[in-house]
Amino acid sequence: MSRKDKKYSDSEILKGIRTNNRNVLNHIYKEYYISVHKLVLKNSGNEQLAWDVFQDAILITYDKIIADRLYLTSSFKTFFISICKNLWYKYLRDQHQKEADVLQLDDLIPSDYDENELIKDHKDNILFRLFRKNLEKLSPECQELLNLLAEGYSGEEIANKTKYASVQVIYNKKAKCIKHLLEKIKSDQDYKNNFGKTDEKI
Amino acid sequence: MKKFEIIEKYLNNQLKGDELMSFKKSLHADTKLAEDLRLYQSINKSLSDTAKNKLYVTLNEIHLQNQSTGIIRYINHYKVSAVAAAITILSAVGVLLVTMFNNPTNDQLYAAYFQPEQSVLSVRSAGVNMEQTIIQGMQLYEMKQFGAAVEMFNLAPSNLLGKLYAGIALMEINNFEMAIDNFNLIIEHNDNLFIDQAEWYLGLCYVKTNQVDQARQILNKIIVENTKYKKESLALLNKLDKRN
Repeated sequence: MSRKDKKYSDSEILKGIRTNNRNVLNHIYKEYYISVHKLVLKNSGNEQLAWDVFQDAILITYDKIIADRLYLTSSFKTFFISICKNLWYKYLRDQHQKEADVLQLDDLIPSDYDENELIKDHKDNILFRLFRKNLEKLSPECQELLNLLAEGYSGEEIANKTKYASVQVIYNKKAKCIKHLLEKIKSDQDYKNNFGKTDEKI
Repeated sequence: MKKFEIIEKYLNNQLKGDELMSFKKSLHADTKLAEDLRLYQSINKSLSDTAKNKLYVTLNEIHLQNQSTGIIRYINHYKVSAVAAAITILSAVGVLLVTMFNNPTNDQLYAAYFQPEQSVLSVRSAGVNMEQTIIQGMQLYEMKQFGAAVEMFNLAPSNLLGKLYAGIALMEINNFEMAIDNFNLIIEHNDNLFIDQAEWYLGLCYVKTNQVDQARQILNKIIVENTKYKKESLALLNKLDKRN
């Protein structure tokens, strides 16, 4: 870690995730991403999968903080690395790889919460990540519109600041953009891996 | 009306009367429509979570910014021994030569201590992404086409790895004024892992351009901050002090 980096307490880290504090997030990245990266790449993963695991773990943690469902019984580090390991373990299991492959390389730390709950939280976040990832593949017009909506602008505000003639035109355009977005999400391998092989409903 | 426009209207409570009845009926009969509605709701939920979207954007900006930093970490973790050993030997030869002079000039001190960084291309790990312009810049840097490398690095003005190597390339072509600007930019940014290198090369630039007071200041800073260039800084500062 660079000497420029500040150390944060666990409560400061949780608050930083909740408030989107760039310094805290940068700290988490610098402290833990390399471990996640090593774990994934040593177990036949790649750079993108390592980043997916890391992002998902942060987003899951964020959801738990926001829902007031996060009670640390260990350090944040133990909790966070545990989530990452479990997500990666789950991925390997889904890919029909041997559990021993992971366990031999790095003992799994018992997770702070139930595996089924983690799987449910993870599925929600896979969809969120797929939404963000595929948003970047849409036309500039669709990206602009959906990004404005994601930034919290209302239909009226968007109509005032863009070329769209009315709120109804915006809703129709939004419907068209989401149609394209869903087409891209459904053809994404990540979606097929998680939702395509079963009849599981979202 | 198109299917997704109907879904949007349904979710906005804009479907009334027969339209609403017809849609609800279709939902029971058409599993694909029901699935599309669920997915559409999921996208709506993602869109409406502004704070989470901002968190995602921040995370990805940090990842992008640190991708080059990641390379440096890999060097530190896996490859530092070979590179450091080579640099140490080269530095030792240069420093030995300069000790032969009782009163070395700034040029002699600079020549003794300046060892350019090895291109990260030769030590980078597979799977670590870099901007295409930075890769091309590194290739030119490796081929010692320093002017062209600087031009390439300048095409990615926000990439601090590019700034560092552009600075070193500028030192190679004796454009110390611009090199100093690059290193100062990295130091002032104050949130990256290239600050140690930038401070050391900045100190050398000051020595080479006879700005000895500034050189002393930055070398002292390196010593106080106890960076990996502390030993070299102590030795160089010692030589500057003894000389005058």
